[in-house]
Formats: sequence, structure tokens, C-alpha cells
Amino acid sequence: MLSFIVKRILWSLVTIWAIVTITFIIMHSVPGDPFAREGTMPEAVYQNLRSFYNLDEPKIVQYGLYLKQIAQFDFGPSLKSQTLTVNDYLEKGFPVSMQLGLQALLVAVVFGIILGVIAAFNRNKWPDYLAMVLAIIGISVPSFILAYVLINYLAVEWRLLPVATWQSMKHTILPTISLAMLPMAYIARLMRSSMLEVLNQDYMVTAKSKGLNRGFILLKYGLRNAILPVVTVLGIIAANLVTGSFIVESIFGVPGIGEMFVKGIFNRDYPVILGSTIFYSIILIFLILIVDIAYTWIDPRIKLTGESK
Amino acid sequence: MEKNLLQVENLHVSFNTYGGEVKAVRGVNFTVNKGEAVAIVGESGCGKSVTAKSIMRLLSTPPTEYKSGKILFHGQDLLQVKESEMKQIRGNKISMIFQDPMSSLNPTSRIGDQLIEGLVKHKKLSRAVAQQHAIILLEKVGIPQAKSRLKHYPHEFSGGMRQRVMIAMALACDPELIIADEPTTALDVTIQAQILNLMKRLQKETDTSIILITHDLGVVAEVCDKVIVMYAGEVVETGTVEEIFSNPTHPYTKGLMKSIPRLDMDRRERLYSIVGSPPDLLDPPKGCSFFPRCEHAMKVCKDFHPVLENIRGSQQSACWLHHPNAQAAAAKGKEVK
Amino acid sequence: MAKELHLSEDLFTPVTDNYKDSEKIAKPSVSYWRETWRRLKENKLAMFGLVVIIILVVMAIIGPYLSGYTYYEQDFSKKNLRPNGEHWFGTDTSGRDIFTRAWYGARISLFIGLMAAVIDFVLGIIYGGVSAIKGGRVDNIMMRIAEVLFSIPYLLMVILMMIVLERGIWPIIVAMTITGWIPMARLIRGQVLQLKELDYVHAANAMGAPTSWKLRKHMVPNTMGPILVNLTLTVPTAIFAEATLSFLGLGIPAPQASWGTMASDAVGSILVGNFYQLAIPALLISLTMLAFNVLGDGLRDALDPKLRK
Repeated sequence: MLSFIVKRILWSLVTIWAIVTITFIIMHSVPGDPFAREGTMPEAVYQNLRSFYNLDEPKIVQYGLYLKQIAQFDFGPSLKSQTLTVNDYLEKGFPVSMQLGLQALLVAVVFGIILGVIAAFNRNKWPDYLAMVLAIIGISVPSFILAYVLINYLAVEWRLLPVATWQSMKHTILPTISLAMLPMAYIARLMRSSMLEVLNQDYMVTAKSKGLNRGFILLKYGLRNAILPVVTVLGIIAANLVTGSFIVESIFGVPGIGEMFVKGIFNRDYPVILGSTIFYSIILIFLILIVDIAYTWIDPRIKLTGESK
Repeated sequence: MEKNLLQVENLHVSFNTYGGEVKAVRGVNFTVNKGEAVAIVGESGCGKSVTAKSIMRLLSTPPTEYKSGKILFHGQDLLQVKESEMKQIRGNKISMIFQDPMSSLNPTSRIGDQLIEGLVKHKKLSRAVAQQHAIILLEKVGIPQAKSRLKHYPHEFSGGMRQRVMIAMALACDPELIIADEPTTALDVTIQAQILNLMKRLQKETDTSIILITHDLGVVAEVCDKVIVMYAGEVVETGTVEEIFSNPTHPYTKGLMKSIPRLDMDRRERLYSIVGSPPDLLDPPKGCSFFPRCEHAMKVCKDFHPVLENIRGSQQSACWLHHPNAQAAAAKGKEVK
Repeated sequence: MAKELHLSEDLFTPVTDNYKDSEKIAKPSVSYWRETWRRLKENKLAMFGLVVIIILVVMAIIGPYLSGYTYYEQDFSKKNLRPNGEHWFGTDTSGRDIFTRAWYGARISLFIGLMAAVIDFVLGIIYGGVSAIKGGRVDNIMMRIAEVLFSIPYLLMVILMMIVLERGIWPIIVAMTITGWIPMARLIRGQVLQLKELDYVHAANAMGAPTSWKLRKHMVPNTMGPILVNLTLTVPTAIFAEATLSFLGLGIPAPQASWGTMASDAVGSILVGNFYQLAIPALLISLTMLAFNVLGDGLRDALDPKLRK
């Protein structure tokens, strides 16, 4: 078990190294010199950049020093701001992004499972069709379109909820729904097929033959087993949430890392783009690692095979 | 005390499928006495499993439909009782052992938990007391280190051990009837013998009635008192083990007997097999269901349905060969030659 | 009792032709693809998806010529017109005909989606095939590389690539396929490895079946299924990614239009009450994703021979 975890952590580090390297290559192959001093760039910013990226050194040394800085969680200065570094942006944005992400994850998991279970128990009846239509819409409508549809009706036309900014719980409703819809739909579909499969398993008949109550059977025999595949895809769900979040954040003006990332793209603020890319990747890889470890803990059958693998 | 524990009368069970109504069980009659071990024998798809599951009403409706007949348990028709009453009977008065111990245990729940569920529900035991009881049960079915094994998950047991756990689960509430649906089919041959011996021993010890469902006549001889041979959803022959084994009368039973491999067989001799496959129960034949595969088929078999007739003792058989006219025709046939 | 029935002695003469029905094969064997097609046809939702895709493709070809307007022609005297008899989908903020632009956009969006699928397929076959056939260490190293690349979030990778590349259709396709081929490669590798081990392939080998026959009879039908499903689902992913890129200002440059750029250009219009400008491309994107998703689902169900009855 321990060796499995250590191995997984080592692989995660390799992956992060690969991503950092790719960002370094991209940084140095941007058309035109991203570090060339533009007319608008203040002298102080320019000097910061030169020193952070060690532009006077040979490329290979630059790469080595860049790796070292990233290893120390130092993402350097921003191109557009004289006072704030990329680290400052990340520190400010992270709690907001995390709140949005966790809220969306919670909504997606809870409603996804409920919808999937309802659909499976009412197979080929109207609740099943309704849940699956909802799920297919969730998968087919990109989050930014959903976000604008919600804004148009719930905020602009009917004035039920505030459009933008991040002040109260009420402000978080629309971004959370927009972000949660796709993973919710995904979980609902997975949960349905998983539940249908479990309902057909022999052990469900065994449970019935013991005279147990239906509710107990569905919970302890059904849900417990059907939920396992959902746990395995939580890593993918998290990836969806992270990459979905910057669109949703920038649409709703949520002051998180995503909004900063999108602004960075529009402003061609390369350190911000690269810093947040690396940060996103680290978060993601970390989440997937946790899901993998959690899975070995949740499914008793994995414990034995996990070690040998 | 009443002698009949279970009485199945004219049971008809069907499945409603896209293709139409599959008549899986068509007018089955039999009784199980107290302390008796009854075997239901037949090929796969002959309705033996459906009959067994119908007794506990385990088949989901729809697609299953209990068309008609009675299943009397202590004189009470199980097809009529409320679901809540049925829950009090399942696992408590009647319990079941399934074919595949690999898939019949909940993979994400500890063996101990699965063992005590029934005890807590039916016997109203506390978890701690039930746990003690579970240890005794596991010891009874021959699982060593029973106490520590309670904490293990099904995948940590071998197939034979899992089937022992299933048996322990079935025994948990001291049921009056245990239905074992091909309990040894999925196991290795050596393990099969162990499990059969275990079941035989436990049945003698507890005086429980058993319905053993199998396609293997060898298994029947080991354990049972009475045999019911089913074909295409019907009982074609029934009698005591001695009667059936010493004098099988239905061509299907004879076929089954001939297909048991024997040690004294000539090695070059091919093992007998019954040609063809069972009829489509979407549209069961009008006459004898076995007609298309029968060695002794007669004109009458095609259009007229044979019913169970007394042969001798308790033995009954549903075959036109027992009709007086058949004997006469056979005699005439010989004369002509 | 039956004995009371009058049965003549004649009825009891033995018959021997009773066996003739017993070996009857219940169902004629149908070729794999025809059977798949039959099952697909029974799936109403999948057929709906197929019909929608055909209509979209036909409209992408002929649509831009139907209204008599061009996609780039601006008429500021006729801007922000609601859908009417002259401009069937209305006009946008620059007075361009949305109907023409929508179908012109369909060409670009569908082209990007289809090209991404085709390139993923080709790269996937090469990489996955080589990996599986070579086996051993080569396989191990190739799959590790793929695994590391795959851990980089897809959308982030596409965005990073677009920052380096020029804007245009082909750069978008390149950016999408740079890591997009990995799932396909993994899938193909898995399929090939599985096939090498399958009993019926061993059996075919033992019987000395010619390679072409093995390929046609075993390899192609059994590998094409999951690959086809994957291809069908790649198209909506690519269309979604393209729309997101457009939204980030990294999409097709004006005056060309894709559904993504049309939607992101129309974002401002909802606040002034011109929701239709967003609704039309949004609807088309969602409809396309829906159609490909339900077709992919239907294909997966239809191809699963385990469900064959």
C-alpha cells in the first residue's frame, strides 16, 4: 500500500516536471520576444522580468533556474502590474476558486447521484427519461452558453439573482450551477448505468432472499457498490471543474484564479498564463492522486491488487 | 404435527418479454415433507430455478408473472401473502443458497456483517450477540479461525469457502426449508464433494428440509430422498431416489441417467448425450415437450399431452409409453418383425 | 384423466422423423455490421442524432448560398434586426446576415471537429499500434510518455498552444490534436493487445487462417466498434474546445466565423436585449453536441455484441 502511494507521488512529480518544461518551451517559442521591452512597460517591471527569467544566462541555465524557482513555488512577476507578483494573484484568487469549485463539486456529486439513482430505479419510465434528458442537455450545452442563458433569464429578464461579482452566497448560485451542470450530467449517466448493473447482480437476490428491507438493500448493497465507478471518475470530474472554472469565473466576474488566467490570456501576460497553468496542473494532479488513494481505501478488492501493480 | 411442509400445486409462472410470454413453469406439482431432501433435476432452462425462486417470490414482477397455482407453506399460500409478511419468511423460515458464491456475496461488505444482517432482522439480536452466533455458524460450516474471518471481505475467501459462508448465512435463522440452487455447479470437483457432505451432515443434524436444484444426477444420489425430474417447465417424472435410479421410466430421465459418466465405462465408448435442445417456451409444443428429442416417440406424442401417471410405489411418470395401448402396439410391432 | 380420452391404438406406432425439428437453428446469422445497423435503427434517439447531423452537414454545404447574403458583408443600416422575412435569423451588431454566417460557421465548426477526429484517429493508430505490436520496453516507455502528456489538462494544453500559434483554422486543429490523440492511442493499443490474446484469434492462427481473413473477420469488427464510438465523441469535444477558444479570443479571426466566435461576439448583446444573436449559435453548438453524443451512445449500445439477442 505504502509503496503504491510513493510510486504514485513520484509519477505525479514527473508529470509536473513535464508540464513545467512544456511551459518553459512555450514561453521561449512565443512569436516575437515576450520579454522584449514594449513601449508601455515600466522600467521596474522590465528589470524584474530580466532578473526572474535570468535572461542574460544561456538557455540551459535559464531552464535550470526556472525549475528551481518553480520548485520553490515562485512564479515570478506579472507583466502588467508593477506591484503584484503572480504569487500574489494566486494567493488572492485561490480561496475564491476553491469555494466555487467545492460548491460545484458538491452540487454535481449530490444531484448527479440522486438523478442517476432515480433514473435507474424507474428504468424506462418517465422519471428515467426526464433525468436522462436533463443529463444529455448538461453534456451538450457548453458551460459558457449555459451561463449566458442563466444570466439572460434569471438575472436580466426575471431579476431573481444578481448577475456578477462575488459578494454573498446569492452571488455564487449562478456560477455554481453553470460549473456543476456538466459534471452533474456526467455523474448522473454513470450512476444510472452503474446502478442498473448492480441491480442485476446476484448479491442483490441474495439480499432479498435474506428478507432484508428494500431500503436497506438499496443502500448497503446497491448504492455502496454502484458508487464505486463514480469515485474513479472524480479525478476527471475535478479536471472538468478546474478547466471549466476559468470560463465561468470570467463570465460572472468571480475574482478567482480563472478570471486572472483569462485576463492574462487577453493581455498576453505570459508569466500569469504560465504560472496559473502550472498551478492548475499541480492542483489537478494532486486531486487525481487523492482520488486514486481514496479509491483503494473505499473498494476493499483493490487493496490486494493495488500493491502488486 | 402436519407432515407436509411445502406443497406446490399446479404452479404456472411466465416471463413477459418483447418476444411474447415465455411460459417457464407450466403446472408443477410436488410436496416437500419435514426433514426431507428433495431434488429438482433437469437441464438449464427447464424451469427448476424459476420454480425454486418462485417459492421465495424472488423473481421481480414484472417481467415475471405468477399466473396460477398455489405454493402452500404450512398451509399458507405464499403467492397470496403480503410482501411484508413474505419478508418475515425469507431468510427466516425459508432460506436460499445460490449457484455462484463468487457473485452472490456483496463484495463491499464484510462477511461478518452479511452473516448477522439476518439475525438482527429476524431474531432481533443485538449486534454483539449476533456476532457470537455468527462465529458459531462459521465453525459449524467448517471455516477455521472463524472469529478473525468475520472481518474479511468475500474476495479474501476461496470459492469453496464462500459457499460455506453462503451455507452459514442460509442456516443463520434455523430455517425450516433451505433451497439450494445448484450449490456446487460453480465449484471444483473436489470442493463439490466437501460441500455436499457438509450439506448432508447439516441436514441430518438440524432436520431441515432441503430442495436441491441440480442438473447433476450424481449429486442427487448423494444427498436426496426424493427426485423431481423437470423438462420444459413441467414435471416429467418423480419418485424416491431408489425408484428413479433403479427404474427410470421416462425417456428423458433415462437419457439423463445415461449421460452420467461411470468409472466402469469402456474408455472408447462415447458418453451419451440427448440430441437437440429444449423447446422454445414462447410457444410450447402441443403434445409431449420431449417429442422432438425422444428415442421412443410415437404418433400420439406429437399432438397429445401426457400427464403424470402412477407407476409403482410413489413413482410417477408422464409418458405415453405407459399407456396400455403403447404396450399393445409394441407387442404388435414385434410380431410383425 | 387422460386415459378417459379415446386414443386409438394406431396412434401408438413409433415415429422416427421426430428429430427433424430439434436441430433447427433459431435465428439466421446476420453479418456484424448489418446487425449493428439494425440495432442502431431501433434506437430512436441515436437516429434523431444521425438525422440532425445529416441536416447540419447538408446545411453547412448549401446554407451559405440560400439567403443571397455573404458572411462578411456589413450593412450598418440594418444592424441588430430581429429574425424576419428578409433575414431569417436576423442580423448581428455589424448588420451581417446571421443565417448565412450560421451555416458558414457550421462549415468551420464541423470541419474542425471532423478534422480533429480524423487526425486523432491516424496518430492514435500509429502510436497505439506501434506500442502494442512492439510490446515490452518500447510499449512501456511509449505508454509512460503518453500518460504524462495525458495528465496535462486538455483545454489548458490547447490554450497554451494557441498562444504560441497564429490564429486560424489549422492552428486550432493542430492545438487540439497535439495531445488529443492520446485517448485514441491508448484505446487502440488496448484493443490490439486484447486481440493478440483472444482465443478466437489463437484459434484462427491454429487453423492457419490467412492474415487478411483474420483482419477482416476478427480484427476489424472487434476493434472498430469502440474506435468508432470514440471518434463520434471526439467531434463534440473538439467543437466545444473551439467554442471555448473563441470565447477566450483565441478562435477564428474575423471576418470568418465559427459558431464559437459568433457566440462570443454576441455576448454583449444580451444586456441590450438581443438574446437571439447569442441564442442561434448557442443552439447550433448545443444541438450538434447533442446529436453527436446521442449517436455515439447509440453506437456504443448497438456495437456491444453482449447485448445481442
